[in-house]
Parts: sequence; structure tokens; C-alpha cells
Amino acid sequence: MTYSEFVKEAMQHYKSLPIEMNELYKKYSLAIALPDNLNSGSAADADLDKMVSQISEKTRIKFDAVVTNSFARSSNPNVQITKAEDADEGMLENKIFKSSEDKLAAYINSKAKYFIKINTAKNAKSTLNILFATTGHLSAEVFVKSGESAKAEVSEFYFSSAADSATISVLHEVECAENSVMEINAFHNENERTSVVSLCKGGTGEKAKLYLNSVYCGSNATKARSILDAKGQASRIEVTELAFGISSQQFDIDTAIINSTPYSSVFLESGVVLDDLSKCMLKGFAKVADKTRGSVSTIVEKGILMSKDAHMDALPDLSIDYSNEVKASHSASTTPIDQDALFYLTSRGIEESQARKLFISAFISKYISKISSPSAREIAMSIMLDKLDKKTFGTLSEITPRNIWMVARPTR
Amino acid sequence: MLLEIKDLHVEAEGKEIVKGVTLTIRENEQHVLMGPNGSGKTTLAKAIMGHPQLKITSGDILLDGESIKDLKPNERSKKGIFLQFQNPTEIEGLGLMNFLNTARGAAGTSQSFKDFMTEIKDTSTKLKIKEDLIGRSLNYGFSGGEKKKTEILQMSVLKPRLAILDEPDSGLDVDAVRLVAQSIIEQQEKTKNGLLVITHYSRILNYMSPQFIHVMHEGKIIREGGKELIEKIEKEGYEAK
Repeated sequence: MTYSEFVKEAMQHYKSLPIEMNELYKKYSLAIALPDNLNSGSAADADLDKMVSQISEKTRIKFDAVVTNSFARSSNPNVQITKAEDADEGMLENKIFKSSEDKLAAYINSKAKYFIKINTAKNAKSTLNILFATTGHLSAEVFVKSGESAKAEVSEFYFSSAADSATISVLHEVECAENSVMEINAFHNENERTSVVSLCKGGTGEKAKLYLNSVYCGSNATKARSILDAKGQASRIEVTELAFGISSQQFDIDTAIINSTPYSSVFLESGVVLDDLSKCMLKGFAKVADKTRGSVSTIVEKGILMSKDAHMDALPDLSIDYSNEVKASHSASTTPIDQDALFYLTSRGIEESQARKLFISAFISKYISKISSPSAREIAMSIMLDKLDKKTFGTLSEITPRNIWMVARPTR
Repeated sequence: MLLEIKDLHVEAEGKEIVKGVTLTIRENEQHVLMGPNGSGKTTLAKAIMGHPQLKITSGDILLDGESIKDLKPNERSKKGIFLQFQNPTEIEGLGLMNFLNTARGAAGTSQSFKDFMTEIKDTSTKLKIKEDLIGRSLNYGFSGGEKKKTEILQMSVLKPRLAILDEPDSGLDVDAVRLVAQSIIEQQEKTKNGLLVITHYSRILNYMSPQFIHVMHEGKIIREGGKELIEKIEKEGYEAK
């Protein structure tokens, strides 16, 4: 199969498939514009280089790989980047096969400019930072694979300074080999002219642990969908999601966690803060497959509405195919800022506006504290606090790591 | 004169809870407010602090002769009023140190950061507050006793002129009651603050020297006296003549 045949087949899939993969949530699905032509909005390489330098300087992170709408490069042998048109036949066929029932995945298959392979060696310990910086449309597929008994931490940072409307579409496939521990962090701080489509499929081997932390701060519209399967016996998946919306930002976050084997555990913890006219559709689905004795499935969704016009739909869902010695629970709450907490804080001399910010930053901190990397944690918290203070997002001035008082991170 | 409560009437959700309380607390005095559950003690304490969901329907609260009943809780705090909560709110994600430092900043204290840290360490040691508690979220997952001790730690940071302590002894073991009482007295000796202690039990009062005992029942103060009243209440109950 050639690249052009691959693209043609992917486009046919995309056009023939129904709009959404999961009919149950059709009513709660964010329609997002998927442009046919992704070539617009390109910037000169020099401008993108400057943007990358600025982000590196402000975050104080030396990125192992940089992906832009014009070029992509890696300085780490664990991160291999291939232009889609240079991909070999096996790679192309593999992608179509895996995404055959998924319209959005088919779209990214047909549009991806880069295939990024992240591999960590058996028993090795790796920390990788990858920057996605764009001034226009950007589409990529990322394949993350940990070696057996490896410990890997991959942090992805997404920034966009698009002058015109742009879409970032990224598909992840994650394989966590047996006995390995992998943490994947994704920070989204795109500007208001950018939309995001983020898909992730992942699975764990026996006794493997996969931690997935997603922070959605930027973009006018975010559509994120993840399907994570604890395939290996006694494996563990922990997904933490945090979205903070202001203005008219919209989020559609749909995460499925599946227990396919005995004694495996899957946890989904989602937190959402919405101000102004922002909206979020938060869908968490846990499946307890047949013959999964001793498995644990938990979904906790929490939302805080800072304004009367903000809106959240929280839809936790469980499907239990096996009821012999399994634990499964789900919960959801959406509330305004706790008035008792505000009284408590203001009774200590703190002004109400500051008390509100303190309360929200505490809520945000709870989720961000799950991230292992101190620098990534500081950047994420800093971006969120600046958004809370200044009510803006997606600008480079907001990434200033600083000493932030945070609660101690739970030990794993 | 520090605090004067004049014929105060307070409503919560349309129901009158405090029905005409009059009370005066001067600096360096120790007052105790006792009474059965539901008599309005906590509502009175919260009303003094300015709880936004409580409505003062008549009467007044004066601090140094000026009405504070229209002030916000943070403004009352800045004037030197402190309320130790009976059930302190848990805020997950807000580090205790972050909170203490923010409160210290809000109070506009001239204390240096170094002195602030020394004070935290000293008071924590005296109260036997576990070190790991300082790095944890505010009151989150704390035991009842840990919460009460943390409230007293906050009081030492804010150095109020008037401290209202709502059941500082509940949930504490015998040794912890003594430590908390000693810390309260030590702080009063330093700051000469006025104290209003709300309690059901006499055991914390064994370590204190309250001059004024007030008994509240059905929203009103029905009896007042000196420390001898405590013994009488212990024997005969709140409504004894």
C-alpha cells in the first residue's frame, strides 16, 4: 500500500462512518470542525524556531522532541519521528486496521503529517519531554511503547499561537509492557483560535501500571476520547483529567476504562472548573469484563461552576459483565463553590475574591499533584493559576514556572 | 471595652435561633458559654464572625464601640476577631502551610517569614502536631483532635484580640485537652486577648481561669455567674435554679 492509497482508504472510512463512535453519548457530543485542507496557516521555520525557543526558555525544559506544523525533530533516540509520506507499508496498514471503526481516528489517519514512535528499552528508566508547537493545523500519530519492566515518564506540551482558526488532531496508541510503569502527561494550552481533537487507545500488560494525566487549559473547543484497557492480569490504570474553562471554551471529554483481566484495577478521576459561558461534557465509562475476579473499577467526576452561565454534563457509567468478587463504583457531582469553605477562608482575613481563587486553585492542585515531574507540575499549575488570575489562556506569557505551594504528591 | 453584644437576634433560614443575647467581653478576660445542644451557641459565634447566611434581625455587635454587624468576615478578622470552628472545613488540595501563609499575609502582620516559620514550629511542637500534617491539605483527612489543634495553631499565627473557641475540647483525649488549654492560655498571656470558650465539658476549664460563665438555652442567656456555676451545672444540669 502506498501513502496515497492509505490516505484515500482512510478518507473513505472517515466519510462512511457515523459521526460518533458511541451512540449512547450522541446527545452529549461536541461537534467540532474538521478541516479538509490542513495546509493553511503555515509559518516560516524561523518563526516556529523562535516560538520553540521561547517556550523552552520559559518552561526551562529541554525538549527531547519538537513537533510543529512545519517541521519535526528529535534529539533523543527513544523518540523516532517519521513523515507520514515516508512511513513503510506495515505501519500504514497497521493504522487503518486499528482504527477501522472510529471516524475521528480515520480522520487523523488520513491527515497525520507525522508518525512519532516513543519506545523505552526493557528495564530502562526514561523521562521524555515532547513539545507540540504550532501556528496552524497540526496532525500527528504518537505510538508509545514501554519495554518490559521499564519505567517511563512522557510529558507532552501543546501550544498554539495560530493567527487563524486551526485544528490540532493527535492520536495516541499506548502499550505498557508487563511489569512496566508508564506515566503519560499531556498539557494543553492552545490559543482561542485552536480546536483540539485528542484520541488515545492504550493497554497494559501483566502487572503493568499506566498513569495518564491530562490537563486541558487552552483551545476554544476540545474533544478528547480515550479507551484504556487493563489487559494484563493484576495491572493498573489510573487516569486523571482536569479541565478549566473560561469565556466560551468547550470541552467534550470521553474516557472509557476497561477491566479485562482478573485482579486488575482501573481508576478515572476527572475534575472540571467552569467559569463564564464555558461548557463541559464529561463522560466516564467503566467496563468490568467477564471473568475479572478481584478487579476494581472506579469513576469519580467532580465539577465546580464558578458562574451561573457555565454548564456541565457529568455522565459516569458502568457496565458490569461479571459480578463475582469485583468492586465497581461511580460518582459525579457538580456544585458551585462551597459557601462554608468560603466562610472559613474569609474568617481568616482572606478577601472573598482571593478565597474563591484559593478554593479553585486547591481543587486544581489536587489533580495536578498526580503528576510526578516537579517541573511539569509547576508549569501546569502556573498556567492554571495565571488563567485564574488574568482570565486569559494560550499565550506564552503564562508559562512561568514559579515556586508554588502544593500539597505533597501521593506516593505510588 | 472590646466586644459588646447588645440584644442580638439572629435568624437562620427564616428561623430565629438567637433571641436577644447581651454580652460584654473585655481584653484579657475569659468567658465561657455553656448550654445544651441546639441552644444557639454556635449560631451566636458564627454571627459574631459574620456568617453570610445568618441574618441579624435586631440588636448590634460592637467592637471597641463601633458596630461590626455590616462588616464581612475578612474585615472582622482584620479587626482582630478569630473563630475556632467546631467542625473546621476540609479543603483538599490547599496545603496547610500555603493557607497559613496566605492568612498571615491577609492579616498584614509585620512578622518576618523566618519568625512565622519559627512560630509554626514552636506551636506545633507544643501542641504535639505531627510534622507530616503541616505538608498536608487543610483539615483534609485530619482526625477530630488534629483539626482542633490546627485551629489553635492558626490562632497563634493570627494573634487575634478576641478569640471565640467553639468546642476546642471536643474530640480530644485528656492529654490533648491539657495541651490545647495551655496553648490558649499562653497565647492570652502574650496578647491579652479576650476569650469566649464554648464548651459542654468542664475538663478544659480545669486548666483555665474563666471569670464569667454564661448559660444559653433556647437562644437566650438564662444564667450567668462565676466559675462556681460550672460545678453547679455539672451537678444539677443547665436549667437548675
